Amino acid sequence: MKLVIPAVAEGNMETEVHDNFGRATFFAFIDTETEEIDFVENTAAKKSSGAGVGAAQLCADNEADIVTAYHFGPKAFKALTAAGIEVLDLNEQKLIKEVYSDYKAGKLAEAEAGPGGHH
Amino acid sequence: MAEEISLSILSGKGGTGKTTLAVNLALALENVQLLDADVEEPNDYLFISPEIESKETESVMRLIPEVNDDKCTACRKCVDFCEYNALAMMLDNVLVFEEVCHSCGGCKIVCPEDAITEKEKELGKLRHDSLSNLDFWQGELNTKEEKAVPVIEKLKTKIDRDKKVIIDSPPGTTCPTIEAITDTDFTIVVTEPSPFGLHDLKMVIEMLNEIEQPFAVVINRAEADSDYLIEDYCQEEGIKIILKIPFSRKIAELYSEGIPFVDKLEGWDEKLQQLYQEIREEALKQ
Ligand code: SF4
Ligand code: SF4
Repeated sequence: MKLVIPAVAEGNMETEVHDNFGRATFFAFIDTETEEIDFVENTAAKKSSGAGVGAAQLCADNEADIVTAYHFGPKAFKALTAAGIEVLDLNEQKLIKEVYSDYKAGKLAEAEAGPGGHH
Repeated sequence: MAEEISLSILSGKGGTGKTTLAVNLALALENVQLLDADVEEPNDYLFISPEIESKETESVMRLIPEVNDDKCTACRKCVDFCEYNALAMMLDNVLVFEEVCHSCGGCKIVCPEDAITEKEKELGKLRHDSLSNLDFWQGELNTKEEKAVPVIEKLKTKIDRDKKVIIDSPPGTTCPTIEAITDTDFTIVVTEPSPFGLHDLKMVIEMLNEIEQPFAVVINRAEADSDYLIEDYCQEEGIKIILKIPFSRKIAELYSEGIPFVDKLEGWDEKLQQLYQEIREEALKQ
């Protein structure tokens, strides 16, 4: 499975999670079988509008299975679910490794769409 | 019949007295048309036609792409083309995000399979009310919509050149403002005598000079000890101040009750009629 986490920079497991899905500078792609981590630059963040949709497209194009973020806008949510991608909400996690261990422990809840969709 | 002119009323920011001037001027004149082009926040109706929502309404539409899945080969050209991320390709289906689509029509042109057609979506509305001496039109942008210009363009098709035309423009210096004021004979810039007022005024004037639009300034909430802020600047630049609306509790109270002050305060009818005549002469000289 490929797990995606928005990241503030290209880095490693210690890198901080970006607080905005659409505007994240990079996405960390973690292969949950091999635990390999790859970073993909979020080119969509630079477009004039619809960053959430663009970021969702980028996740789909890179064959994401699960995408995590603190919050998903309604458009990003719609796009991701249309691609059959599972969307999970973050809350307290600060670093990528925290997200990954919480994911493995089954602590991440399914996301809801819409503004304020994360509790 | 004497030749009439069209005026646009403008300010750097909202809440500077643009509405006050537009409404009172319109009511002081005869054979006049008022068009509220401040489509994101139209409020002239509060003074002119509070029941406007129940009056004649016309939709302003824009075009949104629709993809015919049977024809679409998922080549992705449309998605790559769209500058606004309004299209996404998910599991070989094109998704359209209407809210971010700018109706540029480009995706339809680039589609090699002719799979894209367009459908209409309401962008905004025009509302209309005709009072005895005043023909009132209002443009309105629907919530969540961003493109004000097409609504203003449509509103401008209602202009009746046999009347005195007053257009209440959107505040600021961006495209909707420019759309509202171009084609009017003269622009009145409303400002307040404060450092912020002066700052905004300068930006507006820079824009007006760039498009070579003739204009003059009106000071709203004028006060003897602060008017110099605007007066000094205008004198230096050779800009005419054609009216001062004094800072007055009475005017503010009337405003908050939705009552135009020309109806209540002596002498303003004549003052505003004279203002129109002055501007008319000035504009016809141009
Ligand atoms: S009309 Fe223009 S903005 Fe709208 S989806 Fe097509 S390409 Fe994008
Ligand atoms: S350009 Fe036409 S054929 Fe290609 S993906 Fe878009 S709609 Fe489908």
